[in-house]
Amino acid sequence: MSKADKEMDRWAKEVKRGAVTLAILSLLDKEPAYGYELVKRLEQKVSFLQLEQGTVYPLLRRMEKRGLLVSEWDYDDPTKPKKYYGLTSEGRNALQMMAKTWNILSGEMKEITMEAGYQ
Amino acid sequence: MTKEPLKLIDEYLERVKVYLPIDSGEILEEIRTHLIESAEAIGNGTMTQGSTIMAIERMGEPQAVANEYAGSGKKVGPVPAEYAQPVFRMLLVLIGVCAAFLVGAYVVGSAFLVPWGIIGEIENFPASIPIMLIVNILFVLLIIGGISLADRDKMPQEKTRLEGVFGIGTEGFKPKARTDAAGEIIFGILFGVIALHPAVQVLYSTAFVPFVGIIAALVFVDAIKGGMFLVAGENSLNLIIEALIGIVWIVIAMALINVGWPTDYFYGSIDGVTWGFVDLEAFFIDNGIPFFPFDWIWIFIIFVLVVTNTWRVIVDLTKVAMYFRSRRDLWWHGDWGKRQHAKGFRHRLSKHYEGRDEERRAYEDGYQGN
Repeated sequence: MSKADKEMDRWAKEVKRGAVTLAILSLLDKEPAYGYELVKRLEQKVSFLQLEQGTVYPLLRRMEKRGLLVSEWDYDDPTKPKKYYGLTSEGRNALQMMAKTWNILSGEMKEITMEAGYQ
Repeated sequence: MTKEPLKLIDEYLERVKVYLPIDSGEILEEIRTHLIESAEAIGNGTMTQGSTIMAIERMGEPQAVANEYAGSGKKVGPVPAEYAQPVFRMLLVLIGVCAAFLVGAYVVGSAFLVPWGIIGEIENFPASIPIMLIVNILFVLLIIGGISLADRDKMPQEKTRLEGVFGIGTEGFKPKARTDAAGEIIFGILFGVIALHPAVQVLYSTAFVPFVGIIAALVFVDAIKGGMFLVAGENSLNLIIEALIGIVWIVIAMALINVGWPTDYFYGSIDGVTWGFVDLEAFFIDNGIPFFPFDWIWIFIIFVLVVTNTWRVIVDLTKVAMYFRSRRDLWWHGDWGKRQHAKGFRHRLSKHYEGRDEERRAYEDGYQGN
């Protein structure tokens, strides 16, 4: 692995760390979802994140502890009880601010990289 | 060797559980649902052995998954990093129990037993128990190092030998089996009757005699508690009573360790023909045996008594707290035996898949079917 590859890896990890919270909040803003559903949606919608499946659940748990998410168990299918996650009002506020910042940042980054000759 | 998909998932979850905090039922249930759905998706709507193995592999190593939840990250120590948390937990409990017990035993000995003339002086302090603990810990570390070598080539869903050892703790959280409860009744009554029997009473040492009645009463109460578990299974009231009995045993052990070996005599042949009392200590001296092992054996018995009862108290009180959190009353007809809930869960799921056995074999992932 070249130095550039290593640097790319390191950088990608840092970007993913911040992006995944925003991605989860955005997906859950549309409708509540349980863990597996959310993992699948993340895989489909944001392929860049390429999350280990085992890391999504702890992340949801931490976001719930921080008051961004609220959860409820659904035992309709007793063979597969599902824990549904949804946004709290604090989560929605956080999403609003994060989305705004992300959009500004991505616009500015696009501009700056295009100026440098990269698309 | 082929295994049922759900058995594979259960085995994997057992491995994850080893590295998680005790109260992690919800986490495991969430992972279980994920693995079932993931295995179904991989198997195009059917959960097969192959699709389950793939789902498990995608989820990741149990240690890593549990560490993500527990947030502990990597560990450095004399044991493999992934085992640091359970080992550390076990050591902390052992050291904590030992320290508390030593202080308690010294206080009981010096405050009650010596002034009341039950014993002449406090024995076995301060070194014997900590030395035994340190020796045991060294053995444990050596064994962990040795058997972890044999665990290197295991598949992700297979339980390692070390996890089997650490799983002992989580096994203890299963409800008491009916046979265990019945055993408590039978042995409680049996021990109580034997302890109070006049033919046995004459063998006791003078220092031990004041405790015989208390111990007999306690084993009878233990038998009654066994009866309550037999009738109603596990509920908060039964668990609280069991925890209280455990605490009383620990306190009594604090006194007993000062008393030393409880008998002065045993029944034996005096002259090769006649049977009668034989003085235990005199027997060792007369036969030129320089080492009198019974006090050490007694320390070991007390050590086991304290450790098992402490574990019992911790488990019982943790369960009671969990039941209170789920807003249950003190008394209800609870579960017996081993993993009632899990078996029921698996049974329900097996029923869910009933009639789909043929479908199950129609997978294309190259794995052998059931």
